[in-house]
Amino acid sequence: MSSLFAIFISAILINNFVLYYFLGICPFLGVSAKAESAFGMGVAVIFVMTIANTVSWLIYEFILIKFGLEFLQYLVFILVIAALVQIVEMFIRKFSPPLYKALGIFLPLITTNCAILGAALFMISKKYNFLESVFYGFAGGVGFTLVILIMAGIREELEYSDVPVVFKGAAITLVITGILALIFMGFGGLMSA
Amino acid sequence: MKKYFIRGLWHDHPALRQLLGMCSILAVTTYVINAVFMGLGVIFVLVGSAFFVSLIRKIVPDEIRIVVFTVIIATFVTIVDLILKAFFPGISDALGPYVPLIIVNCIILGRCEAFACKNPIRASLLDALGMGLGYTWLLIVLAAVRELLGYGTLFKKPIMPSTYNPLSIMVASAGAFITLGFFIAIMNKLGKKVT
Amino acid sequence: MKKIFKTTIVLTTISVICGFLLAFVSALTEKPIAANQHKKIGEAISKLSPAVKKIEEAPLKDEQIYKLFDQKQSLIGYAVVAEGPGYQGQIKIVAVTDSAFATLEGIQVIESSETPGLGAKITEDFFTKQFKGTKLASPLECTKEKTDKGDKILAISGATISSRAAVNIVNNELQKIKQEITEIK
Repeated sequence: MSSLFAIFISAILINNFVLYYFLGICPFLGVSAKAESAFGMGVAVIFVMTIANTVSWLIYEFILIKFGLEFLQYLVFILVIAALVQIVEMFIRKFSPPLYKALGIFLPLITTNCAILGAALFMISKKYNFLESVFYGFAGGVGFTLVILIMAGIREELEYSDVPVVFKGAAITLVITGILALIFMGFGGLMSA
Repeated sequence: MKKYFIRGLWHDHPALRQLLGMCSILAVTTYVINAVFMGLGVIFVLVGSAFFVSLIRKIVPDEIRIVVFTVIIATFVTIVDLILKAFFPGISDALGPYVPLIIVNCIILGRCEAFACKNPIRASLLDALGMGLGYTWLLIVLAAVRELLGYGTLFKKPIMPSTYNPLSIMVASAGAFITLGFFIAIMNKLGKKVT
Repeated sequence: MKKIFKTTIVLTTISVICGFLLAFVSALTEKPIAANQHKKIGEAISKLSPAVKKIEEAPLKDEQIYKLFDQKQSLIGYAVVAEGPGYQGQIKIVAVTDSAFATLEGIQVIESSETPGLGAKITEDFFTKQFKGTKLASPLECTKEKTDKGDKILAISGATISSRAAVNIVNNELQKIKQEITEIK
């Protein structure tokens, strides 16, 4: 069960961050209107989530546990994420202007993306080892990207359909997300095999 | 003064109008009792951080204000988490990871950034309290609908007749999204529409 | 330069204050949190085996086990805390056995975060009571169809994975302890 492949499949399809844990809903609602921006956001999330999990795991294991400071966990994790986002932003601005142009506006938004902090907290509560944690962060980001891309595809089509006025915007997006969540529940069977 | 308090309850409702803090709304509304405690936790963090942010608003340099806000919020959230774990273990188990995730609940950072860091303490407190209560009533109503349909209970006491077959889908994630979608639609119908 | 100075001082001061505040609250709540853990285990044990009057911790080589005594101070069973991954997060189960460590008196799920309405049903009596009276000689089996043969646990429909996880967690821990328990007998 705890092999890396299982973590990968489960974080993407079964325990998806958006559909199962309800994390990252704000950017999900905000950025899923266009496929292009959805993809940009998705890549930025994969990037930050992987690095954030890597760094947070190391700090938790080698600093917090060692000195019995587990109660500082939340404070430290959120600072790690905020600092990482800043560093990543400066780094890409300097070394890859085209990438910065594509991801730049999404990066500041990521600090308040609860999926990132969620991934860091879950890897601790699931007692993952280093490699598993890094993988979990990466897979979580891929799962987020997958769902936000599907949603963007649907919402682009939705522009042409006759949605009741009161449901326009966030309301219909949430209802559709509900149906997506139902569909993804079907993937649960993958793990019992 | 009063208007700062009132608007969060309906007119500028943080979730239904501004679409903030959706994650915990969806996650903790399977039981009314969880919703009540989540609401209390959010109110505590919201009011506490609004107080401190407003207090130190003049000494914090602009560039690091977000980081400072985040540190303050994370501190309050950890306090809530430890208190729940120590004195309400059942609730703490039920809310699980969604207590620490109050840190990234955009409502709190949003109110600090948009209001508390620019306004005096009293106004900030009223604003925070109004937003917190607005958030809490939605949590409770949503949880009541989901618990009643999904388990046939309220506050874990059976309400529905014994012949009622609970709709498990209502307490699964799909039910959360769909119910919230309908709530926003109803809110759009009642008031002027948000974008 | 002055700006960097001010920024650093403000940020450091606030972090230090917050750090101390948290250390203080953490020190205050440490004992109740530990006590809650103990209480939860204790409550689960007395629900499974009401005759228990005294619980004594008995460390084995790698595992931890609880000896259960009745009013007359005689050993009436053992309790173990088993933990492992479920469909969702970690599941924590208390299992109580008889004094010969041969038959299961029952189990209680004390921590789980399975899907509400589906996997979360592993905490309910209709599922857990199936474990009562099963023999520890061989690992339990989890099936999807009703059978009368042997010690089989019927999976909850729609929550096979959670059911199987619960059975595996109990199996693993009990088999591990079975090997070690001879030492303290």
